[in-house]
Amino acid sequence: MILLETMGKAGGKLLAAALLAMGGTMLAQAVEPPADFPFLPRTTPPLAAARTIAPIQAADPVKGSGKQEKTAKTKSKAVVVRESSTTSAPGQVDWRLKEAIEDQMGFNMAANTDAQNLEYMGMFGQEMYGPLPMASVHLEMEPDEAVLIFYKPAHDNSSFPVTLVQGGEKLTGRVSVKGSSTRGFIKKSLLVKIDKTSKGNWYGYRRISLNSMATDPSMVREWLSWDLARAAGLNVLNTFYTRLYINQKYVGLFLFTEWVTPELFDRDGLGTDGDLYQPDDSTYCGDLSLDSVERHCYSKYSPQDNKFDTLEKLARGVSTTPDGLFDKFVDANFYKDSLLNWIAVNGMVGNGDTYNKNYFLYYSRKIGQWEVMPWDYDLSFGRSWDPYLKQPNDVFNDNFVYYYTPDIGFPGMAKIKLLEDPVLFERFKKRIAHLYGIGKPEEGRAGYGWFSPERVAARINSIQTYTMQDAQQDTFSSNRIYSYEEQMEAMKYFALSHYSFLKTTAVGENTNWIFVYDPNMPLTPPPATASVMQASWTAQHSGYDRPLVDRASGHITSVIRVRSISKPTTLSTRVLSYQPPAVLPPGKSNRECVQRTWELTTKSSSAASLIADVTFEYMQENSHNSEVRDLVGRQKDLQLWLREGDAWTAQFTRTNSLAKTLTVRNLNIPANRTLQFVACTDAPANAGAEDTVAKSAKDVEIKSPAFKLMGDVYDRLKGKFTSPKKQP
Amino acid sequence: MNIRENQMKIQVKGLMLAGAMLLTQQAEAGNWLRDEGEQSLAARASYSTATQMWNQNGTLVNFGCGTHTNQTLGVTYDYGLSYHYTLFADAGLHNVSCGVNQVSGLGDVGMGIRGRIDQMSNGKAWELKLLVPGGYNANATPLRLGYGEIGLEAGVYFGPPFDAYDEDPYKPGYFPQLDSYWEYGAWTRVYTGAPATVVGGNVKYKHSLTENWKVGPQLGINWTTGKGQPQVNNLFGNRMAYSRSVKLGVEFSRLIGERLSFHITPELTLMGENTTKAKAISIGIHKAFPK
Repeated sequence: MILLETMGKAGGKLLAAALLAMGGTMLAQAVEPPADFPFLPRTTPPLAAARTIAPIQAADPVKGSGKQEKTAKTKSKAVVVRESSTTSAPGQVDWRLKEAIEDQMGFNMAANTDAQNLEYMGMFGQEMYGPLPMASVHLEMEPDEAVLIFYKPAHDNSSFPVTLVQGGEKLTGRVSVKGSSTRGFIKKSLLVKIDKTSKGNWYGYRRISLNSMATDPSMVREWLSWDLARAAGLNVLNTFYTRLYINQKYVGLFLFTEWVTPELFDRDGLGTDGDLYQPDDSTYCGDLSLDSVERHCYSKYSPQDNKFDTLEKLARGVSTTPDGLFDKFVDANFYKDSLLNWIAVNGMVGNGDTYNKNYFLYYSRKIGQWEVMPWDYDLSFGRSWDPYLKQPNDVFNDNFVYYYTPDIGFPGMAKIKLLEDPVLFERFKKRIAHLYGIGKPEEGRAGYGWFSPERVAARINSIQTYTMQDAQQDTFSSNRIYSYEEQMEAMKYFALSHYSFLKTTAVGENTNWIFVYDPNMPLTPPPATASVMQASWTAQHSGYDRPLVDRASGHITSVIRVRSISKPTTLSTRVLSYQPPAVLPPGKSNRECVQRTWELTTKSSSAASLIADVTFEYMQENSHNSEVRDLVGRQKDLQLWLREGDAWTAQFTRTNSLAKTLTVRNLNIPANRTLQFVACTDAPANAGAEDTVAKSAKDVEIKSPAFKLMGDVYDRLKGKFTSPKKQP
Repeated sequence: MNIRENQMKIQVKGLMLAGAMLLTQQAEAGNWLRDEGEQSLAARASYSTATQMWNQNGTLVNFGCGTHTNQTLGVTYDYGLSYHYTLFADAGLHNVSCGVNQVSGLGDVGMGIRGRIDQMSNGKAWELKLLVPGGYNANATPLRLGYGEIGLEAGVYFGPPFDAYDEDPYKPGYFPQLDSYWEYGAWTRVYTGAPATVVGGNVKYKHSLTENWKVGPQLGINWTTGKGQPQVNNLFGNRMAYSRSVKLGVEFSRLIGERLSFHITPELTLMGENTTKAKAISIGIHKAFPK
């Protein structure tokens, strides 16, 4: 108890330090980054040679914390490299202590809000700590074409001449729009190719691929996903935020994504003479089944010989390897567990937009194995496909789902076989647990707890600090209907709730999640039914965000942040979901209220005072499975009402209609009472539907160059024949 | 002039005016702006038959030679030069006959440039096209193809706008995924020599029967502003260097593959001057090749 109280006083720094130290990450001496960091050369890991880093002497949370602080202060503009190799001993981590701390303290989801540094995973698997890597691209182009590149017909593949200005150097090239679904947004993803005749490069790259992140107004989904992929041990493309300027005007924040070529796989020592495949984005059938190869569901990028023999052999192996031997097949054919790591990462970030597309496969002739590389993580972190809406709202909508099992996504053949294999299934669950920091770490594996809610929140908070102005100044930010802060809150809440869900139901201790593939299972989720969820927790001291999780469903019933407490108090939350509240505040009808009721019960040995922030969530999985079906466009005005006895009191509510959360801050919770909450809105029924669709381009007008030329000629002729008035 | 002479005149006239009608082809695959580096190829086979014609007075008369037929194999090629401009060319092989009289060969060859009227749309275009005689042979007068004069055509064309969220319009082969839409355009053509200046227009309405089938009527007008000059020192002196017609058809079109579509279009000539009262059918196929 004393230990926990001490920890409570020390707050998040202590917890963070404990997590860092227990995670087997070794704080190390600062290593000066290359001058052009983070734009490391493409093939040679320059920091690999510098990995002669002395580990800290002991995993003392307090010392670790102090050193971390000191390092952050003295090297605020530098990057610290933390060695995460197997030299640390993650198996010796007192993970039970860590879990005990989390149980008592919860997670500090506000961590690092005022810090300038964040931890992130380097492109060669080095754990980094320092400023957010941020680049800028300065382009010069014809003013009209600078507009056209974003407003021209979405699927036009024309390019425009461009000059890349870098320092005093000017490189000529072409810029074009890339991507598929993001073309529907005004903020397009761009590809700048430097001309062959132009000597030079942009931080080692001659193709500058800029993801617009238009589908993700939070602008952190892809960053966090790629970061996790690296932490999971996947060899993935280099990515970093990049500010785009055209003709010296700020356009917006983009994510640089390295162009996928065999050279990228050679970073893992796989050679450059291998076969590079990708499922054709438009076919939705590249699921590694034998049928997918026969149906030409893949494109081959290198070498461009149109031979698919290696892929066919792999698909045949995936399809025909007998049960019980698939783990050996995977180990023999996939380099560094890349198949399993890929599926694990998808499950953790909730990326369902894959397994039949959105990935690369590289067959290394050098080692005779395959490597999987993920692609496109924008539809993750709570994004929910809505089978009841038409394009584009089936994908780009206001639904938000936290409770996906790790098998999310199209039932690809390799995924099914892997999850059906008992050996791989156990390894899969352990990998997820390891990355979340749940239970015992995997021996000899880095990245323990890399994706725990608090560490994810710390990254998000830091990124938000860095990119707030970008979000405000983004030329296309008018398309956002939620504030940047709401977006970030939703991402953090996803990190917390998805972690809680998987820990409780799938990968934590005493969970019994079983993967069952039913080919006849409809893609449409089953209709939601009324249910009751409940969870309890005894608060002993003030702390951070502590989720109370229903053990049966894994859903969060409430998140409690104890501000002050006089005596230990047991808090129980009971949630009646997908059912209209039995009693409503005066003047309210069911159509104005969320179809959910929350009950908060306190128990303590005697009269105790407890002040806490209380967060409740509601569900909007799709247009049908929603507790707010009658509240389209009106969720922003939702307000919690508290019922005590027969009296209703409206609570000052912080509503995040994107995250689907309702928070009451500094709620004075009486002892040994039951408080009932419902959420209703005052907004009129015709408040308007929330719309995430990009604006039409019809308001933008640009003259044809030919017409403009004729106009110029006319103006000149006019000038020629119109003599200027003489001065009197 | 005896009856035989008159019949002969009508017969030859039919051949000549049919040749004049072969001068140009409507853009087989629509007047779209291609994206940079994109190519498209369209081919068309058409057959028309007529036993009557409208003479220069607009009077319907019989062909003395029997049945007049016209077979064409046409091809159109588009190339996206840049976002702003598309180059195109068209040409056709023709076989015109009436009774025992027959002429065949390469018709006029068109080459042109297409630009955007609306910079945000690939469906609204202006065109400039140069017409070069391909099959003219003065010695073969009056059995020839085309006027034998260099022409210049300018036109504007309007197709449906694509919504940003539509399926990739390029992928289905310029087969917009819309329930219904209009295509219309107008053009004028001038010649270096005798032929009269022509103005023309066409309008199409397309309605989706299914995701892959469309059907709709189309109306085409081809009208000279004057009657031109005697082009050759011909036997009849009837100054054949002009032609007027109004045609009505129904186009059935189908998407048959990625960027691949075809159409079949029965068509009737409703009225005109120096034009055949033809029944025609054309079958076309269009394939686009992205960069």
